[in-house]
Amino acid sequence: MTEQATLREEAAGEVLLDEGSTYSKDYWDLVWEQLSRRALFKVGMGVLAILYGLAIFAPLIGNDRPYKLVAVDYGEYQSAARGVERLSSNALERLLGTGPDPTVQAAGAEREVTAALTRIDLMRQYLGAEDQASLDTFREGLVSSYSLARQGERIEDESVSRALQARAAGFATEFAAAPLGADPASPGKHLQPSTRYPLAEGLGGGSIFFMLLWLLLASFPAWNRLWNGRLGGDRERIRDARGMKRNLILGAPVLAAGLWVLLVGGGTAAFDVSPFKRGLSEGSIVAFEAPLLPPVPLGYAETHKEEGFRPPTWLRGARLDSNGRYMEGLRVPKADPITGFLPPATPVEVRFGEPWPNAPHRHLAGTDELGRDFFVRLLWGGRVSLAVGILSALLLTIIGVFMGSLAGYFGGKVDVFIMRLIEILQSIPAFFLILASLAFIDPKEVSIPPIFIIVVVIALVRWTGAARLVRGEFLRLREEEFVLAANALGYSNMRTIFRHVLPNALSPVLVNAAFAVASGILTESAVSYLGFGVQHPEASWGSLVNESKSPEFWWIQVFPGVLIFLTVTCYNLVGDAVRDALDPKMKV
Amino acid sequence: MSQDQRTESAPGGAASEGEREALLQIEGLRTWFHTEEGIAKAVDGVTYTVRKGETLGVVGESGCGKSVTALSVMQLVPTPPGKFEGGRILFRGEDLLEKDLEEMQKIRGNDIAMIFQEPMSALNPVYTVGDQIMETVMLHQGLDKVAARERAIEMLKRVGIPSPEQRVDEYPHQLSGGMRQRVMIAIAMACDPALLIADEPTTALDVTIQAQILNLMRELQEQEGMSMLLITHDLGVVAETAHHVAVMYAGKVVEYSEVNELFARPHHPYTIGLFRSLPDLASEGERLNTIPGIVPSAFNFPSGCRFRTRCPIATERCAAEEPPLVPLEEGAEHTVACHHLKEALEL
Repeated sequence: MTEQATLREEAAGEVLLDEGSTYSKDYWDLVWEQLSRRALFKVGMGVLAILYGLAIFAPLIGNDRPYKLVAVDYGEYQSAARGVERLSSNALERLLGTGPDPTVQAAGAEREVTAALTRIDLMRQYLGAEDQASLDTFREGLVSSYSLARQGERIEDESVSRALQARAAGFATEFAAAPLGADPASPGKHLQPSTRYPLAEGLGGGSIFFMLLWLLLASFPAWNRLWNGRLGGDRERIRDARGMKRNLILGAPVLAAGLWVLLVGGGTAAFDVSPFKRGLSEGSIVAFEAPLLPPVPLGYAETHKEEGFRPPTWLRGARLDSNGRYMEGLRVPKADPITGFLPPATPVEVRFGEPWPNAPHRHLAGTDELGRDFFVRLLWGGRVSLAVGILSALLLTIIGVFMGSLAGYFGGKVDVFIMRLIEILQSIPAFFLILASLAFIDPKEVSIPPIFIIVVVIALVRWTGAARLVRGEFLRLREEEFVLAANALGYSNMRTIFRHVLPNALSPVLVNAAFAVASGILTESAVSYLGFGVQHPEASWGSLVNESKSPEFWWIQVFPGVLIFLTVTCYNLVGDAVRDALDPKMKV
Repeated sequence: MSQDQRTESAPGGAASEGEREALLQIEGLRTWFHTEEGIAKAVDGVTYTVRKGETLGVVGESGCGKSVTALSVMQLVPTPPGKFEGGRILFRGEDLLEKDLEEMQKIRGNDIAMIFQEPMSALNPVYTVGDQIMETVMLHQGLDKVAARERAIEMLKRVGIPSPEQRVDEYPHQLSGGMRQRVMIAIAMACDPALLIADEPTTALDVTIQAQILNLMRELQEQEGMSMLLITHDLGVVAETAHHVAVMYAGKVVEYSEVNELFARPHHPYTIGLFRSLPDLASEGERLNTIPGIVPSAFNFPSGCRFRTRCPIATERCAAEEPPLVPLEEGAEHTVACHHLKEALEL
């Protein structure tokens, strides 16, 4: 019998060897195959990719900060010079005073000295070598007086310190700028242009991360095909390369963002309203090269009050005459029947780099009440809406998975407690719970940005669905023998739950998450529409709908409404496709 | 299965080497389940010993408490509703029932490993077989990833999986049932456990694969000098693999003996019944013998001897008095729990 068995074993071994040489698809191969067969999935993903791309690259598309500016900022220079005069005089007054303790005097002058030094550095970039040297002597004098006082020594040399004080008093005059193009012999400093990258100053590491991440993901189908082609279509090697691809997609953006923060500092300037366009228009900033402006050179908070509620400029009805009055259509002003006067109007102010008032691309989506460009606001609003959607779905999935796992795995009292909690939460209408929670949070008192408050509140109210799904899956999987096997191998409960059971329970959660993004966007829109969400001048699609309720200003409701609809629809399409692909019964 | 073949194939050398040291001693173990319908006494006073380097076969019908005893050793009985009502489980002289969860987790998989009946569901479908072997050696033996992977390939080779370098990266669904059971054995053996509990390891496999797996387990056991607790309802499996046999019925051991001795001279009416219900090549075409009746419910065992309701030789004494598990003669290894040994032999 033993011999027979051995013979059979050998025979079976050969068969198995043959079996081993053929390739069999693993789970993700099958899922991917299913997904790539669905046209609606591709459409949905494509549209979402474009929407996310626009949101992520919004600062580069619609912004009032130039990419590159080679210019002298006379206004900035002059105010810096005046600032240095005032600050250094005050500081020296304290430092040279005859108080009992020099260190106390130094402490009093600390802020003034630091402020003066930053302004000196700012001035320095516009000055020639000779003037820089003269500025540096003043700087050194100030620094040494301060450091002497800090060490507790009194400034003894009367003549030097008096001279320094006198120079400080005449600082603004000494360093006054000569106007541009003035005779070289004329008094005053002849300033030289410095090169700045104002837009990049506002980009943080996070922005860089997401930009690169998006680029890598959007171009994934292309470079993935190239890569696989280079592997010669060898399934094993393609499967091995998966880890490398994942590391590239996640690692490269992290690396780039890290380098950006390290080398550039990144994200110090705010994007609300910048002084550059106004300065360029008024002439206080003199550009030596044509400044490079983004395609839509308007800030999301930049107002044009004379252009309030202007329809999209590619419409005939949006055309204005030189006085700022509509020329065609329903908005043409009518003269007062009694006095015969036309209502007052203001001509459109065209700032540096902006299209002409009647250019069709001046306001692609019209303007809001304060004349802020609605297209730019839609771009920036998408950042908030899409981020709220993703983050709330992520957070509620994490909470739901954690609670559901505990309930499903441990059962008993834990299960009873968590399920009753879920039932209580679900018995309250979620939207009103969110509104009520937000009403109790004063955005001025809480230091976190309001969008994160919304995200957290949505997640804390909505995690129950994901938890129920996970619990159900756990109840099913708990009976599977591999769970017992994991226990029999001495794995801890946490390892068994999160490493062994959870990955098997994730498919329905993934689908749930796709729908949760859609509902998160809707909830944020609704909350913002009611005025509890993001606050001015920031925008989200929901708050943009709320800018006007009048059908006369239809673009205010239509454009953000369409975007919300499009995003939610696409998420539902993607969620449907993913659900079908993950369903084991669908697999052939 | 004829007498000669059995003597040949059974590893009967153990008895001649004399008494080996005990590795696992179960003494009067009681594992009861407290449910809403009442108390199910799934294991009610089980006593047996697994010696070092030997295999103990535990046989019995479904529901007689074989698996629950094994799970009790691993302390994997869900509590509640399960509860240990008494007895001791001595492993290397230490009572496992007194160990806390953390100590047990160090023992499970490392000192005592377990393989299960269903190779289809006992492997985690989302990880490659390599990952699953690696995880246990990384956890218990602190190997790094590279060393663990080498160990995984080595183990796959040891359990006879062809081209282990490729198989190590495959998912369980890519393997056949026999291969999966080999992988299960590889995982269980990866940490060189002192005791391997095999809970019906071949039940779900077809007959040719069963033979392969049993041979493999016996080979590995002999190479490693490991002890094995083999739970099965298949007397053929026991005859081929075990050194000692414990026959369980209704939560109790009714007969315990060296394997050849038991096959030659079964004493308990239940054991005799089991042997008689085996299909016999000589009596082809006849109806199989059966033991009448069904296993009594664990909620409500009969008084006295639990087998009496199905026993052809039961008397009033059997209902009144529970027969203790006693040696056949003074100092014998063969123990039986029956009041009527003489009558049983005449069956």
